[in-house]
Amino acid sequence: MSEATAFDGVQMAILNKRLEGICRKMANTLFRTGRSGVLNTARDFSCCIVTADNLLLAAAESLPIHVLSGPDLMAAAMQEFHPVLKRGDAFLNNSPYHGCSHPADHTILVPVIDDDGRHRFTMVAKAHQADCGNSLPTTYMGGARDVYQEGALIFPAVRVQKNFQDVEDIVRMCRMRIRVPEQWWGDYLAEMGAARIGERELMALAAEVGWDTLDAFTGQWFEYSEQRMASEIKRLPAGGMTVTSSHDPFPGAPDGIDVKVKLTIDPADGVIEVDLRDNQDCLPCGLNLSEACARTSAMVGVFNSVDHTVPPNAGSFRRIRVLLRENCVVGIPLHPTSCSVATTNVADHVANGVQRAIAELAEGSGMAEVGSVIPPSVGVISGLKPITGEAFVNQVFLGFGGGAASPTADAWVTIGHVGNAGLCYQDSAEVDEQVFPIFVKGRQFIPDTGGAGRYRGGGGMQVEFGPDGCDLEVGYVSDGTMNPAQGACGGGPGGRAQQSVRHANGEMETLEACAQVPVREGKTIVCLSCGGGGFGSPLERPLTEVVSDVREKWISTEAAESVYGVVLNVDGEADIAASEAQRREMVSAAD
Amino acid sequence: MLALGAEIGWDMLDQYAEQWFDYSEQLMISSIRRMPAGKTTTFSRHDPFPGAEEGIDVKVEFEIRHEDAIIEVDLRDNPDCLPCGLNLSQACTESAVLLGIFNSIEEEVPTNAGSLRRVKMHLRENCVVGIPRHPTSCSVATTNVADCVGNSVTRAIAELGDGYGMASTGSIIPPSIGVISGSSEKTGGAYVNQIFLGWGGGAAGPNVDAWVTIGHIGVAGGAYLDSIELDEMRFPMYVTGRHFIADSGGVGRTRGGEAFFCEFGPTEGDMEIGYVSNGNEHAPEGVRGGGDGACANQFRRDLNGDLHQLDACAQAVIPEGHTMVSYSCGGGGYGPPVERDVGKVAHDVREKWISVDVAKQTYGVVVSSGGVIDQAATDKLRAGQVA
Repeated sequence: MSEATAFDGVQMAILNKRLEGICRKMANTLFRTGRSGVLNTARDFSCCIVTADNLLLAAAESLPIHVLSGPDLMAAAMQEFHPVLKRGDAFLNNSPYHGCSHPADHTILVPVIDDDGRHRFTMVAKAHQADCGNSLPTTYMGGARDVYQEGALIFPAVRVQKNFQDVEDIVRMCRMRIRVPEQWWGDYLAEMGAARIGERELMALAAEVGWDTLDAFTGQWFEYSEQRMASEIKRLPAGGMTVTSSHDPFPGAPDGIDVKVKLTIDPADGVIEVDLRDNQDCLPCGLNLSEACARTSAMVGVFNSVDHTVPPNAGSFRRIRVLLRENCVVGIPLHPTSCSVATTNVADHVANGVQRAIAELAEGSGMAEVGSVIPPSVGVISGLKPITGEAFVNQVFLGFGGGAASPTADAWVTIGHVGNAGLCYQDSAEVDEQVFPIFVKGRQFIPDTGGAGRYRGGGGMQVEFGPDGCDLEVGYVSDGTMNPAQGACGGGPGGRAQQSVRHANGEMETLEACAQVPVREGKTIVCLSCGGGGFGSPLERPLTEVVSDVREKWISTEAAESVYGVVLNVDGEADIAASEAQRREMVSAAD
Repeated sequence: MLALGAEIGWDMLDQYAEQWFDYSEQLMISSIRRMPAGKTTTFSRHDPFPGAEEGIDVKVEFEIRHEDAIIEVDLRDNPDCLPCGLNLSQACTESAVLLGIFNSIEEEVPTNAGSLRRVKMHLRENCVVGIPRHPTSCSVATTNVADCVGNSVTRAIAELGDGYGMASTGSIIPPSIGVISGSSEKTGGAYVNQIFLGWGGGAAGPNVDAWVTIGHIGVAGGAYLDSIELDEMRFPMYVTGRHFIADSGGVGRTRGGEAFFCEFGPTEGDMEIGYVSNGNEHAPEGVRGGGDGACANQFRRDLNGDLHQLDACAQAVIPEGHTMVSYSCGGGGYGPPVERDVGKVAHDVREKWISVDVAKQTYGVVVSSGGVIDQAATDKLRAGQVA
């Protein structure tokens, strides 16, 4: 098939699904063989395919913050440092200065080389590590003033396999500097296995359809994706606005971080521009975004606001212009700036800012803000197991809620955070208790913590857990204890995060928002994750839905009346007359 | 090496190596047989540090045997590895023992695998002075606790016989030898470097006074002291002063090295100084009646000139305009001070190593600040002190 061949829709759909299928095979390999809980239980990883000229082609079932931009930059760094790529090579890249999201996301890049020695595609397997050698047992060093204090081993596209054999020097380095080395080794093998499975499958596909066909498909698929995005943007009204979304004060950022998002919709050209340059310089803490996360978070906000069938790839990306500057907290960090927490906290404010700006500019589009993270219930736990004294370290996913309401639906409550898009699973309390010496006393959604609105934000989740037979350390970086997720178009804010320790005598003590906390036997951590913002006025929420919310305990009877203007009778049904009067009164009071 | 191999041949080199080892071993054997035989146990104490809140008592069981010409050292009865950076690597444990021994052996004995055959060491895994297991930190392995091992060995030898071994060398690492860092226009951005502004504290030997600028026992004077002017040209810093401190060396028949005073601070922006100063609490010991060296100390001097005590192990921030005031340790003395040659004591006073008071009260020498001896008063005083 020549390059001029035009594929019909069916052929394109089939080839796209074949490529996505390869990504799924890679993901399944990683999920089933990963050794740490963060991979085999919570699924905090992504697999994708990048073209030989470093463009994102396919990324099925991946975390948006992991893949939209990053794999492209990392593959480019691989080619810059290793101009001659050979079959059997594999590279490790976790450098936020060379395209990785943050140092905890160890990424294996395998260049796919055809029989003539030509580099055709690059398979990418990226997985959040249980530990990456930071100076404290956490993969989120919020307070690290630079990469040195952060402590992670940084691999800027370093060759880890040659002729399909590990470069043992690199493996030994990792074994000496990453906690619980056997766990890291297992996860490394899982990632390598995923990338090699992807390579094998892609070779098989090429043997079947030919490399030239794949190349031709790629060009046309990008064009199709670009057109889909352009027509989505053409449906939006022209305009621009600047919104601010604020991260709480943290160590190294004592005044908090006001993220300013200047968004412009240009339907004539079919382009959305996100300008992040008018923001503060990089800060002496781990909250700075990597370039990958700055670009990606802007794109996450856009993709959350357009039709979900627009394929996220380098084609559709052509219609999103992201403007960044060097040495900016939401831009391009200069070494040795720490980007330890780049995938979540500040990145979420960029994405939230974008989708909220679109909501305010274009009726029926955009979203409210998703709740902030990372509460202790999703923190990194570590310690020594009782009896055996064996070390453990791992991120648990015991509970986060806080999805954002959209113009057409209530929130997806367990989304996790905006950059995650619900891809991570929440842990089973029982499985966590079997694997780690912890006890989960309870977890539940808390009524009235989702932002009120015509469409309701997701509730916050309360989790209480503690050590079982030993001492425990919990590292977390909980944004949103001061600044809640904002609603959009008249929707209310989500509930704030909170975290405390419950002492053996029952006394509660509030904990810092960004901390590495020792929890002694007999104590528990009690934490509440953020709720998400609501969309539209709560007074416009249909009575029947409010009644259902009360029955399901998402909201209280009091909130139904005071926030939604819905009066319930003794049977729990809406008193229609009283409710209508109440709503009229609230509307006129608001005017 | 390839050129040498090409010139004389590899076989020749192999043969030489074997013979050289044998020769070194023979020299070591005869050196050991000239040392006092016997068995003793010595202790050296490292101050309390973060992760070692009780301090670390290093115990060295030491034996010199003439019959098989072996020195045997047992370090197994010591604490397990600690959650701090003070643990020794196996390399540093073995080297610390060996350097303590070689400080007391004739210098013509070559230090190589041949002479080392005559030293038998007993180490244990997971011991603070032994063989650390991953992931134990050995960040400070070359100095602090290693010095305790080396000092215990030299003192053990001294205890076995007068005329052998040495006292304890002063402990380190004071802020004057710390790692400075910060950011300035002068350095065009970030700077970080270990400076060597001053340390003293050599140990007295059986026949000679201390080598004052030895540094610490493990460095053996191998590191140079920095030029103040060069440091000031390179870094945004100003050195207010540095000098030896009178009466800070251990007294003795031979005198321990004096401690070093150093004051310095940043001229542009804040400066961080990282250091791990052992010897704040536990002084370097003298032997055979010799006195201990002075303890270390460190302060921050603020804009008003007030001094603020700093921790012994810290990453201190010194703001622009403030200074770091650093005192290093003195070294231990060897033998009773009343046996020190009167003329040498007078010289010490004249050179301001010791004060007139110490000369009189400790050395039993009545001498003017100009170094003029009152022989009659001295004889009388010393007769009384010896009695």
